[in-house]
Amino acid sequence: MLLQLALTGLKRRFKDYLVLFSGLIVASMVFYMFLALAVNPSFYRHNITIGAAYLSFIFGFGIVILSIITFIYLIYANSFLLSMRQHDYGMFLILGAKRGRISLLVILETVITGLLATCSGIILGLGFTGLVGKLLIGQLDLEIHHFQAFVPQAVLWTFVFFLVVFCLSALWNVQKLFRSRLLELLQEKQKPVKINQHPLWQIFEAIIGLVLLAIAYAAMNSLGSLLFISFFVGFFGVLLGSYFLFHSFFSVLITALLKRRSFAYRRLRLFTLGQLKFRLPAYTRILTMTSVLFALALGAITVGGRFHSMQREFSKSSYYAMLVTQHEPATKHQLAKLHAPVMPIYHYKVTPKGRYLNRAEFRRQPLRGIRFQPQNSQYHDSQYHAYTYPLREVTRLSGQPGYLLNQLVHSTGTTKMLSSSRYRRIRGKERWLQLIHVPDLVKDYQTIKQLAKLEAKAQPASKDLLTLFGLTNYQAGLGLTSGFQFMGLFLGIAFLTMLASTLMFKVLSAASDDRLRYRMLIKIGTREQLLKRSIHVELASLFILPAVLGMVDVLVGLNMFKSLITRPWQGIWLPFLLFAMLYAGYYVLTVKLYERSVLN
Amino acid sequence: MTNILKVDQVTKTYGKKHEQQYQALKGVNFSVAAGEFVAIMGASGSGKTTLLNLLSTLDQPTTGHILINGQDLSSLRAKQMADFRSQSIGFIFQDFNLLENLTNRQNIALPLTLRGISTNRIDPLIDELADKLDIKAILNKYPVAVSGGQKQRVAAARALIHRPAILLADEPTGALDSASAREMLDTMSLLNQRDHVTTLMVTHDPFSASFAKRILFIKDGKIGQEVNKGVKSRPAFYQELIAYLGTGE
Ligand SMILES: Nc1ncnc2c1ncn2[C@@H]1O[C@H](COP(=O)(O)OP(=O)(O)OP(=O)(O)O)[C@@H](O)[C@H]1O
Ligand SMILES: [Mg+2]
Repeated sequence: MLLQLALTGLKRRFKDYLVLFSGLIVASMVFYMFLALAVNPSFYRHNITIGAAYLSFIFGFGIVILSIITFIYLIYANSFLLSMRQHDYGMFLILGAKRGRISLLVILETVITGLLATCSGIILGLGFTGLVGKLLIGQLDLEIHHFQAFVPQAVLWTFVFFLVVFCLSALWNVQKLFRSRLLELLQEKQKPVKINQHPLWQIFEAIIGLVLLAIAYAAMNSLGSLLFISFFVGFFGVLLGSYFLFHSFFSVLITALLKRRSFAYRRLRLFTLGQLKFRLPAYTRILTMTSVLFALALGAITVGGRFHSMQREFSKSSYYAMLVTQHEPATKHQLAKLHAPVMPIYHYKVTPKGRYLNRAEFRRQPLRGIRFQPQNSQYHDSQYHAYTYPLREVTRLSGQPGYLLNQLVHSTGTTKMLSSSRYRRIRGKERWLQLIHVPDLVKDYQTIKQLAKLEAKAQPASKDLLTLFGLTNYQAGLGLTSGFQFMGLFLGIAFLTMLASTLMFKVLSAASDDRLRYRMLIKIGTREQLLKRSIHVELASLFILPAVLGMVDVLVGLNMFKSLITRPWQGIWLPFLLFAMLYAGYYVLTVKLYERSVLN
Repeated sequence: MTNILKVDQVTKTYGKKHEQQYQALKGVNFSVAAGEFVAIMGASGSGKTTLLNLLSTLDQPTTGHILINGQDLSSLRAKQMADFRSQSIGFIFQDFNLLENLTNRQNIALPLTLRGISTNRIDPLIDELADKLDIKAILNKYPVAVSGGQKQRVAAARALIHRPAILLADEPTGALDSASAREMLDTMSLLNQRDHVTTLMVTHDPFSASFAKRILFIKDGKIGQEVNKGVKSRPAFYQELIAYLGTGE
């Protein structure tokens, strides 16, 4: 009979269960996605060749944060579950069920709910990981190989983590049930709002919050040699500052608005402001978490995205992208495809004594190189300067061009540059090589890649030589940045999904408390349209405030990445836009679900 | 005397067709004149709340007509109904009357802001009414910080601030202790006598009902007996009610 009662209970609150369930599924899905990336051994072996220590730090940090969020999330979910069920449990007790039986029921319900959600979450996570992976790799033309969606260890760890948390929750529920009296279980009381602390204290907190944020931002701005310190001051400053902001600052602000009668005494503004005034402090923890996570997620996406544009920097690190020593039709065909190339041909003669170059040729088409000029401690475009080699230097072995030529010609001995007439008199087989420079290697990447392939086929001996050119530098950069970029985007999306669903969950689980308020407003004659507008404003504030704060955090926090990536702010609108769209989707979904549960 | 409220052959059936149906009101007729204080009494399940929901346009009758201030409620659309409620009806409920996230003053201001009254006229109106209801000192407190009786008087203020055509009260003293209940009822009859607030109160409690001038008894979805206070004193009227209820049931 207990089972039957349990099932009817489930049916009665189906909508709430749906919310609970989808929340849990998202949580386990994201958890899996993160782990799938964190413990994906083949991904690293093939894609991340540099900075492994850095990475393990990032992932260690990520796992700790994600575990904390997930844990908090599950606590919310569990108390929601208990609040839904406690009335029924009370009924069972009245009907004469033994506490032991009910404890068993509670444990079973909690753990089964949890396991069902976790399994669905992992399955969804598998699909989603594959999908996001494919999309990112395909859309962004990333050089990512061996990204597998199914990672057995990740499945195992996700499962274990959730199982442990659900078992703990079940025990917690049981002891709570034992401690509370029957009446408390049966009464689904409307909880009165808590009156805030003393207004002066609140104002004090608000100021502290602003000061802490200012300090944090200043720290992130003035990096220099103290990277580590400014990172910690920045992170904890933002964390605490946001906390006080949500706990007090906005309340103070709203109180001030409420005092302005000409503003507040219009339509439902009183109600909307009243809701927010109490809701913002009540949601302090979750809003702080949301804003910090928002910053982390957006930061990850932005920095990841900037790695993409760093590829361009890599493409500029060498002047000549490639060389050819033959003009077979296929090669000619490819050469014709290049955009505005500079392709000097140099002739040379080799004798047992040494190599000879024609000075006139080098006068006519000077050999050029790239000079690397670090400016301050920051990377910047202007650090790469193309310049012309002095003629003298061309033949010097230590200089780049001399070294290059030496390698090209495969011989030992000296290199001499001769006047045209003397050069002509040298006896020996004349050969030539053609250097290729393109203004935009990124644009001609595919063509250059083809040329390299053709050249390597035609001249197996010069295979190693080819690696000295821009193409190879660029490809190395591509591999490195793609790995980081992929991680940034992947983590960003995972975090965002998680935090938005946490917020949504929190809002929806409060809906039943709000229902009475809206009913009362309807009774005193509030138009539905007005109620909806009030809901939109309230929820939008809950979503937007942490988002705006998070965005500011990112904009300022990007300072810290100046030494790692070039111009971190460039093209920032793209990740912001992407993010805004995803986030807005969550907002709309929350509004729709919330409206459905409070307005009828 | 003009009728503020006229209820004409109203029935209400719960449950859709082909489902199990239940007729909660079986043809109710009565009217309330301007300035009257009418109580509707009945046992639990007799249809009191159902009737009140119809009067307040929160629900629609299955058949029959309700006119308030000459306006036929069945001719109103959803939006107009909301407007009608906010203009012509004042409400006091048994519990959960006030929004706890607003101060008492802000709670009372709500009906006025909904009607778009100009913002600088609102506070003076509230202060004036608060004086009458003796709640001036607690206007800036939150509802949790005041007693149940005070809360209910704040609710009365909110119900009356926009000068509705009729005040509807559903068990207004149901959640109060006897002293607070008495205070509240005194306030209501004072408002009725001095300010001529037309009042319709629904209750199952004879003590509450004895404050009204006329009492309609509802039983099984129909209005049965009607009792007038006439010139009797309130305690005498109360005794009469008790006696009546004793014989009636
Ligand atoms: N939404 C509904 N659906 C079906 N039946 C209903 C509904 N609301 C009320 N009823 C039934 O209509 C009858 C009258 O209910 P109503 O709530 O009007 O009684 P009441 O006089 O207010 O009782 P109480 O004094 O307990 O509040 C009851 O038998 C009730 O079961
Ligand atoms: Mg009732």
